[in-house]
Amino acid sequence: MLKRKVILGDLEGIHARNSAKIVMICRDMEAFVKLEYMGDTADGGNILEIMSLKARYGDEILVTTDGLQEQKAMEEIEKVLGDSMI
Amino acid sequence: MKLFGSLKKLLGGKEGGGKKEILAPVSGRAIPMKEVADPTFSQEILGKGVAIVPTEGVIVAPASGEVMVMFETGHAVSIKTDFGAEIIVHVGLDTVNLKGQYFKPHVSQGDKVKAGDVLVEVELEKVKEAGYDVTTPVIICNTPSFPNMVCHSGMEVKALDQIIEL
Repeated sequence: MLKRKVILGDLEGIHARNSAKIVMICRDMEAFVKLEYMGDTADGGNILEIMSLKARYGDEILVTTDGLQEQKAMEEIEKVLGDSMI
Repeated sequence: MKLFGSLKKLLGGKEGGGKKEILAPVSGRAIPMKEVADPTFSQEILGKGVAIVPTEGVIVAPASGEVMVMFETGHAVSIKTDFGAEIIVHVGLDTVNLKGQYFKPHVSQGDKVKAGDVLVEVELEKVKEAGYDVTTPVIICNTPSFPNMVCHSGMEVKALDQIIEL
């Protein structure tokens, strides 16, 4: 199991497109993914739970991945959440 | 007959024999999701559904339920219906970038809504002038829970016409 803090680098915060990418990662890989923000937890496979976190640019999200592809899943999710960091 | 009618109501049924339906949140042209010019929607990553190319700017609840997410920017709203469907209405493509400009949300997270209640008002012409596609996908996020889902598209609809049967 991996746990990492990721700073949200998307200027628009969490929205449909980046949430959808996380759901895709969960579908494509053998890893259970969990996102935590401000005491709320979202299942990485559930778009509504991810969007409900309402995390914004610069916020810190705790990402947990667990499973055979936990490393790759973590890297992909870090890319999605953190990529547009200036 | 009256008793029968109220019994039907009690069981959650309407004239459609208790069919669960999702209604158009806005008047316009209903198109298949595959025709939406954004792979996030057209590849049905979020789920299956129907998109409306709207002709007016009042977006109403497509079913009765609870508001799960209302983006501050007003460009997207999700509703969990009383029978458990999780719907996203995404007003326009890439409209998150407008940061709320031209959108006026009417509900908040946790609000109970009835089909037809106003969710968001959008200044459609302004959004178009700003260069955005106003196509509005209506997506059932938990599509796998509804194996008999039927989507209707390829026609002009008025707000509250049926577009999806679950």
